[in-house]
Amino acid sequence: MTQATVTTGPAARAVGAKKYYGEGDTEVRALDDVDVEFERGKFTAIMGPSGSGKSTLMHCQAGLDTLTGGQVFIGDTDLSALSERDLTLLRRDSVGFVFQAFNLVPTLSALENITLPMDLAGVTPDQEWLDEVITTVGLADRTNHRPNELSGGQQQRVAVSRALASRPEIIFADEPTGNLDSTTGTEILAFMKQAVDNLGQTIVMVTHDPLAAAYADRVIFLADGKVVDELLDPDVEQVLDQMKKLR
Amino acid sequence: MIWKLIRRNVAGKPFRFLLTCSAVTAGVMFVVGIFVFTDGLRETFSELAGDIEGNVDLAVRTEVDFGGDFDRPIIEVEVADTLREVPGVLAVQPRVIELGNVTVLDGDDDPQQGSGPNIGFNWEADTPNPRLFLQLGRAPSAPNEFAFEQKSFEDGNFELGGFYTIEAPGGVYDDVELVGTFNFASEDGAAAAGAKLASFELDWALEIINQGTGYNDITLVLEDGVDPLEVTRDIRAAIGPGLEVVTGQALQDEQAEQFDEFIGVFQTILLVFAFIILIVSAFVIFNVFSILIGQRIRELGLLRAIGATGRQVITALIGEAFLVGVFAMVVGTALGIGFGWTLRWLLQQFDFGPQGNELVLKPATFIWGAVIGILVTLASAIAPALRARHISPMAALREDARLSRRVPALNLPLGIVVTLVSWVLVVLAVSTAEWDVIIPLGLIAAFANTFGLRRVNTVVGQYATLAFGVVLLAVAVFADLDVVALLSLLGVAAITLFLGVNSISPALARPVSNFLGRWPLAILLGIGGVITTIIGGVAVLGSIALIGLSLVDVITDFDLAGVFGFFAAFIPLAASLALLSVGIRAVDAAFIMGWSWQKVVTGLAIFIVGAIGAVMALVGLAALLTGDWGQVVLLAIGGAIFAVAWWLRRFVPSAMKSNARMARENAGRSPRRTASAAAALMIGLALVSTATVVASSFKATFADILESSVTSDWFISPTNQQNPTSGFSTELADGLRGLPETDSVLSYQFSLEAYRTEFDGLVRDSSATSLGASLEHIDPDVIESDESLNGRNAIWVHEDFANDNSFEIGSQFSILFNDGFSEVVTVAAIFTDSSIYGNRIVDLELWADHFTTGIDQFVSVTVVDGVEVEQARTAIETVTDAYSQVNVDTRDEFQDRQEGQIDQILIVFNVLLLVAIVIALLGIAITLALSVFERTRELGLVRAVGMTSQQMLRMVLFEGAIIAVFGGVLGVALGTVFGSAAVVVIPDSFIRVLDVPVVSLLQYLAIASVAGIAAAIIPARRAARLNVLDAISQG
Ligand SMILES: Nc1ncnc2c1ncn2[C@@H]1O[C@H](COP(=O)(O)OP(=O)(O)OP(=O)(O)O)[C@@H](O)[C@H]1O
Ligand SMILES: [Mg+2]
Repeated sequence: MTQATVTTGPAARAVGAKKYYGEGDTEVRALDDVDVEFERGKFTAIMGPSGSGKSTLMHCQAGLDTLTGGQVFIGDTDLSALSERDLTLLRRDSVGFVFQAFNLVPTLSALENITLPMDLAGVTPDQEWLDEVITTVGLADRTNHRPNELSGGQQQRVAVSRALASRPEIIFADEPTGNLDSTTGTEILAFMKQAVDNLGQTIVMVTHDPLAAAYADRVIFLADGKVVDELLDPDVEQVLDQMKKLR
Repeated sequence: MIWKLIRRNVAGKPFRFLLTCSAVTAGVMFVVGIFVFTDGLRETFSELAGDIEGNVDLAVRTEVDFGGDFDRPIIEVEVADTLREVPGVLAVQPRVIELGNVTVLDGDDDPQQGSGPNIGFNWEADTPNPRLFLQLGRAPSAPNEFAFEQKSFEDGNFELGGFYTIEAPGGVYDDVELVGTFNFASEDGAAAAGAKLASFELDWALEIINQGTGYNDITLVLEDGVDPLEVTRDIRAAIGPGLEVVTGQALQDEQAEQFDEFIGVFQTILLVFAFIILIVSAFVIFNVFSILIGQRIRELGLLRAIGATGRQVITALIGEAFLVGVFAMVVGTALGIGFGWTLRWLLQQFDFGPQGNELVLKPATFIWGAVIGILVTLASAIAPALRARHISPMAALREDARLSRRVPALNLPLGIVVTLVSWVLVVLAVSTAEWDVIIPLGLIAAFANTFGLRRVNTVVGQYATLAFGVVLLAVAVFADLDVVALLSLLGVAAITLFLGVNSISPALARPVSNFLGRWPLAILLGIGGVITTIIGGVAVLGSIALIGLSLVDVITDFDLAGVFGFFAAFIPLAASLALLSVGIRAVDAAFIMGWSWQKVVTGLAIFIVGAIGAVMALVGLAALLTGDWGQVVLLAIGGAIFAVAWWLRRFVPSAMKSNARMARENAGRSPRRTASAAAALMIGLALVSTATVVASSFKATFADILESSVTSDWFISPTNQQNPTSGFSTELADGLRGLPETDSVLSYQFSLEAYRTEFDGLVRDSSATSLGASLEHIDPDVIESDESLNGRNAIWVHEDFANDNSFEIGSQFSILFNDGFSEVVTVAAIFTDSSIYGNRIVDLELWADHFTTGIDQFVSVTVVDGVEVEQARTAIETVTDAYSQVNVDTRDEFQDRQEGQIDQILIVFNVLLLVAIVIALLGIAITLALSVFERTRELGLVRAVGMTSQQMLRMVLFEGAIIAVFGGVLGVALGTVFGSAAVVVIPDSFIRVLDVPVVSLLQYLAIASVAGIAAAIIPARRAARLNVLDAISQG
């Protein structure tokens, strides 16, 4: 079994992260002084009411967006110090993404979508690892199909495979199961959990679904741009309770 | 409600709206510009006609049976005296004029070559109301004096009272004194239009222009109050037959008509190009609307879901098209007026046409602007709008809703009937052999055929248009009709083939772009890019130098014009920088597509090392062979280096980047869009390639003739060949005959309207030369001849002319010349090659008796055996140096010169087509911009997973190049077919050898690929600058 590169310290962290939109009366504090660490080789879920800043945290943490104040790190790299180009390269090489929908480039086949970040980097994918990922995801017979020939669940699995294929430091997933029925969603979640447990991948997932959160090793709760609570090895009941408190 | 939607759509996306408008606006601008330009030109010219011929009452000249002013026979000198006796005549002004062959050399012996012809005529001393306005000095009043037109005087190195050389039909005259300057036709000199006008005292003009034989015409001014009709009657009685009396008004009308004809030809040519531009714009508009509707399927589906009827959806779309049309009409017309006026101004700077620039705005101009702006837009938008009617409300809910193309329902009886009708139409059209029937009927038949076959069978219907075009092309190539009919049939076939290829090209787009998007594109981009980079680089240096020069100018001599010039000098710099950057981008793209920097650098390094090794080894080997054993070390080392280099070769990396692949995939993804984006460019390049194939075949024909039938060594031709009457004095040939180095010297004259053949009454073109000696110079493939018949009254005729009239050697017939005399000629030879002489050649002796111009149009020379080329040139130039307006060429030089002229015409033609091509590129730019817009989310996604903005930029650039090359390949292929067919159709007397210039055509493809990059730059920038987060969260 191949392991993700292991170094010490958290895979990603935010220190005093602030993200404000607008000014004066209309100012919105999407992130208000957030300190959080994402442990290496762990599956972390982020939960919170709508508008609490989950997506914002994820975008900033992943280098898609910039902070108003504070710092975010991937490994030991301070993202606020990076240029736009370096951020892109960091995303390409060290971060994986799974979005709620529209994850795939429609012109490319499933396999080409999976290897896209490596193609962009001009590196040859590790064939063994690739085969392993694809087999684990159960897509071996679908690799030459185009996205529109795949079901929604299959498309999400391709997206997860893409995130895994380049063995990034960390994978971010924003409501990856939001568009799927519960059975398919469960499959994807089980798969991600497997990737964490068996392949040593680090995953951070935003979700609204307590069932989904229960797959995680740890749940972080956000409200009004602040981290308000967290649960370790949560079960569905605990998560539901916590959510009710936040409403 | 619907209108509100339309308004919102336009106002909400102004950039998109402007983009949509730009192509039609450009089309309208050019058409309106052409009208403004030609109307203005016509206005100034018609005023000019009044100025030139408006101040005489009557004119007397010889009556001609056919032909025009160029070869009207002259009037005897005595007629002028007779006219002076007629009561009521106040003044008699005989006129002598030579249009083209009177050249004045200035103080630098410079022949004053300008854009206008070199005209010589007499000073009109006797006219009470003059058309020559003296400016400086005095009028010429004795032999060896002349007056010169004021502007030409200023332009050249002249001095009043100086002595200059004048070349005229009568010979070369040295030491002619410049006694005065004048303006022609109007006081201010606006009318000269670049012509070089020299005027002489009447009797001397008579001598040097018409060799003393007579006047060209005589104008009269009548006493006040006399009845012109009565005077005319008296004149007729006095002068006898063969002469005619016309009114000043008639002269003026003739002049105006000539101008009109000239402008008409000009306008027609320009309008043909305008028409091409419009077709191209229509394609672009059609494409843009299809894309816009494709992008809004979900929105339109939503409209349908909440209750909008199909009709309302159509109204919304057509309404938007209407707004686009109105905008294009208004803006395009305004720009067009400016464009036409500027064009006129610009050409005036080159002395094209008379001075004066009235802005003539006729209602027709505005009507055309409106028709083109609104109708073309609506017509192009209707098909996509109609398809939108079928968008289902479900489209709003689906992710990847696509607009499906409706296939017409099969209807066998209707289909068969319409198809048959279309075939009957074609047969009918072709059988009339009239171009004005063939074109409309042929096009209607083409549409009917497609309509019919699509209802017979879906698959057959798809290829119906294409097949019909092929059939028409075949008919044009094989049928035996007159040239005009065949060429018009070819035109119909071309349009049909465009439509046919266009309807199947979506099917081609994927495989073709898949193939082209690899090494072929890399090679094209590499070559085109390197050339563009070099040109751009040189241009940048040049424009920097220009800025430097104008800066120096401003510093040394400060004035407003200088400052303006300094800032204006930055425009070429900007343009050449843009060119340079396009070139660099293209080279960059080429490397990324196929080559990669590492590959080239390492490859080159390895190649150089290997080559050094090989050279060392060879030197060693050579030394070894001469027995120098010490060199064995060199051989060993060299061989080893070579071997290592050979082995290293395999490590040269090969890379095909994913963005190149994605670009290819993108181009193949919506094949219909790629195809229609490319279609406009296809048309433009097809026309350019057609012209290139025809021009190149023309050159090949010329070379072939020179090779197979021409045996002369030297060729003397006039420098100015645009004018059919231009040539040089016959004295030149006489001078050459006197040289010891020349063996035989042959003169040629030619007229399009030489004489009538009396047996059928037709006016014929004819050449004339000394028949007895001509075979030593040129053999028009004589198949039968009787040399004893050669002489003054001999004629050589083409085989076809002989067969048509059942002539054989010894047959006689009579021909009537324009001077009223007829001659009986005897067929002395029959030939088969009409490419040099046309169909008839008579003897120069006979000719000279009826044409008094004394101008040879061409002279060929054979030299005595053993005379070297340079020796012969020196000898010939001792004679020709007296004539500034002739070229002396060896065979090779002559061929080069002719090819150069054909190339020039080709360049003018291609420059005119450039506008269409620019609009086509604009179409590609719009298409790409819209598709970037449409793919925002997808582009955001690939940026999120790690595509750098540089890679994104390149991806869109590649896509532009692929689309352009796709259109280019189709266009060049079609153009080659059209050009070849045209060569077959054009009579052998013009073009008989087909030559397809592969290199030029490949160059066009390379240029197209680079142009595709240029077109894609703006959309690519937009794509590269997309905000990743906004892009992925959109939708
Ligand atoms: N571009 C923006 N401009 C202004 N405000 C924004 C912007 N993006 C987000 N916000 C605000 O920031 C806050 C956090 O938004 P965010 O998208 O992170 O919430 P979320 O927790 O992901 O919610 P959801 O569960 O609905 O996806 C919200 O109040 C939102 O209105
Ligand atoms: Mg969110």
